[in-house]
Amino acid sequence: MNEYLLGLQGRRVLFAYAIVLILFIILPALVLVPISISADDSFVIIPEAFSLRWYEQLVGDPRWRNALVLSLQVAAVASVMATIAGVLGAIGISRASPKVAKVLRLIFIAPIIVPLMVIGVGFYMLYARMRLVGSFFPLCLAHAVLVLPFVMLPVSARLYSIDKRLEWAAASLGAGPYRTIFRVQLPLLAPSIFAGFVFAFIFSFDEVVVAQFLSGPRLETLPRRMWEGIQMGGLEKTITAVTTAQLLLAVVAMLIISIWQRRSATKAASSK
Amino acid sequence: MTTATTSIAGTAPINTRGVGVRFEQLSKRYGDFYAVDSLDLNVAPGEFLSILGPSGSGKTTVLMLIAGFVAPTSGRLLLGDQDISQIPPYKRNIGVVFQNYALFPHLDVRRNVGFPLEVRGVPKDEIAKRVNWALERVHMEKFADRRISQLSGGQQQRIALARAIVFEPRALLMDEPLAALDRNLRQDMQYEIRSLQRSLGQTVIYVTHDQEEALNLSDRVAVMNLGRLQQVDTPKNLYLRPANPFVAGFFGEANLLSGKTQGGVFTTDAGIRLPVTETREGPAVLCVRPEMIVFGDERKSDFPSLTGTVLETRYRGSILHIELDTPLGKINAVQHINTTNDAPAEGTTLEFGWDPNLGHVMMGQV
Repeated sequence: MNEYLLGLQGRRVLFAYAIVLILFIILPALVLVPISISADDSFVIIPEAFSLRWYEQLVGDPRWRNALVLSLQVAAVASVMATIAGVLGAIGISRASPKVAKVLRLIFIAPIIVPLMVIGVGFYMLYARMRLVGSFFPLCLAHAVLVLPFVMLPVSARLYSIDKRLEWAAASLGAGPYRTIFRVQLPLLAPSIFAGFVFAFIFSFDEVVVAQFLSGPRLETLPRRMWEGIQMGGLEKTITAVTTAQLLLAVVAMLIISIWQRRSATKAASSK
Repeated sequence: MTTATTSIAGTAPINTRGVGVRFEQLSKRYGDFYAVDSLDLNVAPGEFLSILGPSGSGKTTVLMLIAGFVAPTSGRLLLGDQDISQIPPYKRNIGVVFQNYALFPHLDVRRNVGFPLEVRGVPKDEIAKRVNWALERVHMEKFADRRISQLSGGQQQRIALARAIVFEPRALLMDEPLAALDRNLRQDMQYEIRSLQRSLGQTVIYVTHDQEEALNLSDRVAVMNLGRLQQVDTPKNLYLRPANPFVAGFFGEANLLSGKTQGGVFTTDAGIRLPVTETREGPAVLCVRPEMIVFGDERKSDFPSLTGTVLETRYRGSILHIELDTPLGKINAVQHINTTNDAPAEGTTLEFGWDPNLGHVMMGQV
């Protein structure tokens, strides 16, 4: 669609709309950045003096620190599990017959379609019966299920864009099925696997609904700590430090992913 | 399997010797559809055989069956004297060159060509030697450290070829390897593939839909249509002695007349009697190539003597195409433009005929 068909007036309207939309998407995330580095106790958007005291509090206050460490641990374990299961699942689905693949894909993608509340309650019922509420690995497992689609989606998409004939070529050259996976498919999938891992990590790190159900009284993840902080004592400024750190993490991860994918895209372009 | 692996450990230079490939009643069925139907074919060791056919003829399925990417529904496939129909592709030791090259984009040229050797556990210094040997064979030794994305299509195809020969495969399959290249490059590559195959003594099975390519390269051509083998023969015989009207029409133009033959006389359905050399008898189709048709004084006494009215004439490069309305129906003739004579005007009546030795009778075809 050629936007020149809209005429001068139309293009101006389109441009203005785009600017408003972009601001609306990024402002709520950005607004907390200056607040987090202001020395003030109050929530002023343009700070008068700067300080990192809220970041110090995040690391220094044992309750905040424990929550941060726990969330990092849960996110790491959950996203590693989801990455392993998701990559193997995606490769398996790509080799299944189209009918079976369709059903399997739906099942694997379900965790982002089914409401978090439903998944949370479901896991809670199961775990409560098995006396697993409030323990670390079961929480990681639940999160792994939750973030599985974030790995499946990019890896499946990449698998479909990789020429089937590369697999055949490897086989004709003497590489058995496992060697083909390790020597040909995984290297080509690496950027999408990394992307999936990062999405999974960030989502798990950020997840509050399911964590609320499953963490019991003892396990306090960072989002849960934030949520409670807001409910109990109103906005605590440490929260702005947390969100800013998360934002930074996400931006860096996205940059790495996009640079990597561009490099491997130019490599793969010639093979198509 | 073991013989090929041990021979790889030997030192370069290597003289690869291909083995024969035999199809025995090989079929591949998808539901009710026979992609390949009861194929019987014998490829001699060191032979260059093309499988030629229009799209949907089953030629690609034949290649997939040999490579092992699909399993046959029934029948046997022998490589040398070993039945390989149930052996997985990675244990067959057959080199495959794909139309889109299928080089590994994450590996450089050297690692691509070395891949089949690495997989077989060949020692590093031996791999280096063998890779250099293979790259020299395709004149790409200067490109060993390039990334695949830095190569043109023709160069990529050479690397794919090097990768397919480096492990001394027992046979080499090529799936329209030149289809993506432009015309001039295609001709150079045809020549190179042919000379490489000769010097290695490699058995090559070459799948293509391009008649010219098949005729240029091959010792024999297997023509397929609708999953069935139509004829396997030398390029010359496919043109002059086609087995059936499909083959006759597939290679160039043909005037096909149906009727029956008896005692050296072919009688068309309309009752016109024509001299032929065929001595058998029965229903048949007579094939007369357009360039066999001669006019006026060029005819000899034993040629059939017929008259026709010129319907249309067209210049096609170096030849003049004449369409005649005759008692036999429409007849196409071509003449080489080697005189300054103009084309006959439309509506002119011409006397024509052909050498009965050149007319080809296809028995049992109606």
